[in-house]
Amino acid sequence: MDKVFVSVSHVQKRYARGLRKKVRVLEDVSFELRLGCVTGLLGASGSGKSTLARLLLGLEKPDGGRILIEGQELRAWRAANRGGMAVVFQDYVTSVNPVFTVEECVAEGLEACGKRNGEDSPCVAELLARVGLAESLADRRCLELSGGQIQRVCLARAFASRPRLLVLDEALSSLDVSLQAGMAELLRGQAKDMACLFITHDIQLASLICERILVLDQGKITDNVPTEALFAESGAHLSPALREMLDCTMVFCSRFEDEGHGA
Amino acid sequence: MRRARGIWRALWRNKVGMASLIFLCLVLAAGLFAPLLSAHDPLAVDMKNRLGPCTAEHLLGTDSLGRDILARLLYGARTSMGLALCVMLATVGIGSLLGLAAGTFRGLFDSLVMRVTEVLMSFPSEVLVLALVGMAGPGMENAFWACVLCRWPWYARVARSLTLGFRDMNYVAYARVAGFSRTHILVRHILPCASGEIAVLATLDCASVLLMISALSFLGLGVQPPVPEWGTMLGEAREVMILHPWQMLPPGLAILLVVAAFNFLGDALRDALDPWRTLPQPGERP
Ligand SMILES: Nc1ncnc2c1ncn2[C@@H]1O[C@H](COP(=O)(O)OP(=O)(O)O)[C@@H](O)[C@H]1O
Ligand SMILES: [Mg+2]
Repeated sequence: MDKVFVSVSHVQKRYARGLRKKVRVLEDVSFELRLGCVTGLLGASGSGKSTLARLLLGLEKPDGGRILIEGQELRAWRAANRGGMAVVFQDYVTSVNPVFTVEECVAEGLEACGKRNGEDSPCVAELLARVGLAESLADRRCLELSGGQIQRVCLARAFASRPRLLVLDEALSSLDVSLQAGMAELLRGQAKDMACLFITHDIQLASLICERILVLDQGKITDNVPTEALFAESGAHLSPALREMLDCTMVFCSRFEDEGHGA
Repeated sequence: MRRARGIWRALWRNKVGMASLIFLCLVLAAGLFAPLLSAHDPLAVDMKNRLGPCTAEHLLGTDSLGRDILARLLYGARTSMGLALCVMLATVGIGSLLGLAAGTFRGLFDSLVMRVTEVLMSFPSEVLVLALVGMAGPGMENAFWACVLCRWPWYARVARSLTLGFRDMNYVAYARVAGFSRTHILVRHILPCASGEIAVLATLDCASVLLMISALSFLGLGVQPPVPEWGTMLGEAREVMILHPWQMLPPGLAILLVVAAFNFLGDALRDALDPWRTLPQPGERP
């Protein structure tokens, strides 16, 4: 619980815009992820959350700073720990190979950690059941499913390899509220021996799932607080960005209570 | 397996495509079983019976050296289609392998392959083929290699750009994150997706290779007489064109029909692959 698993220090990322101009998406981002802890990453749309996720997964290289996992360079760790990382992307349409069946897709996650479907538990059917998908979907083509179903196939695939680092980029965004609650429970159950970065713009969902909250604003981490701090009476130590998010949620909640739904 | 069956069913429904496929298979079979279908030797010269009319003995008549035209047409299918298919297989093989590898591994190898293709593609390919065969000397083998050398760059570029397109897909990103090797990703994700597009291209390309081979033979640079080949036959018929124009008809029609059939089949294949399109179409999702 206490050991640092992933350490991100002073990471920068720029993208070229046009020939000479460069935009800084991330400047000087530092934080740590610990095993057994779900860390929420909040931020407005366009604040660089997905970019940070891609850096953390080794899909892109940072322009400055470094990312270490268990003290090793990211790519070296990834090569040594097959199936040790998993991800569910925000854009689910391209997240599954359109010619694969659901079973093939989830089996890829099993294969990542050297297992085969039907050999070891858990098998594909069980993994599907865990995310609330019927076994009868197993031989349907991924392309034929709805957005929420695809997203759950991706979740099943990610859980299949029992990753130690899991990155969920808006992974629950196209699920309905009751499914979100179910997935939140599932995630908390799985979280014991993995470090999870849960990216979302939904502060309520984040406070339901995460133990720590990071807020990314204009390329910098503005808050790195335990979730309880959000509900503390004096929010003086919270950044303006986070406080605005909280206020907007409060407006919604008070309306909910005013209309007579509350206690 | 599922995918193959789905494509086959879609192709089955396309009447023109199916007819083309059957026609091409028949032509290939006719070439393979030519000795059974024709009693005549395609090389047997009979000077007494030159430019003969259609009779029960010689169904399509005889040519300027008294050889049976039907027999030459059947044996010619072997050479023409065989050569075209070989050229196509070699170009597709070399081209898409290099292209896929270039797109997957990038770096120095990629730039090297791409610069070579750019040089080769900066000449019109017909002119380049003529020049190469002219330098190496006429003959079937030289024509084969010249065609392969001039055509693989197209496949390499298509395969590379397909690979680069798929590389940005999130399912490839997932596989990379999960720690699968590049070769595994290439074989597992990219090859099955790219192979459909390449198959369409190859079928359409068969038509133009056949035309190219026939044109070379017609000019006397490809298959050498007396070996029967449709282009060579056309070239020989040209010498007596003024007085006996119908001599052009059998080889000319054979080339026309086979080229058309390849084109129709290519289009049908493209349509059949459509529901299995590997790149998600915009607006397909709610
Ligand atoms: N490949 C890229 N090339 C150029 N700019 C990019 C690229 N990816 C992201 N960006 C820019 O980086 C910023 C942050 O994007 P992103 O990380 O997707 O934000 P978020 O996920 O928080 O909504 C955006 O302004 C976007 O335009
Ligand atoms: Mg995003």
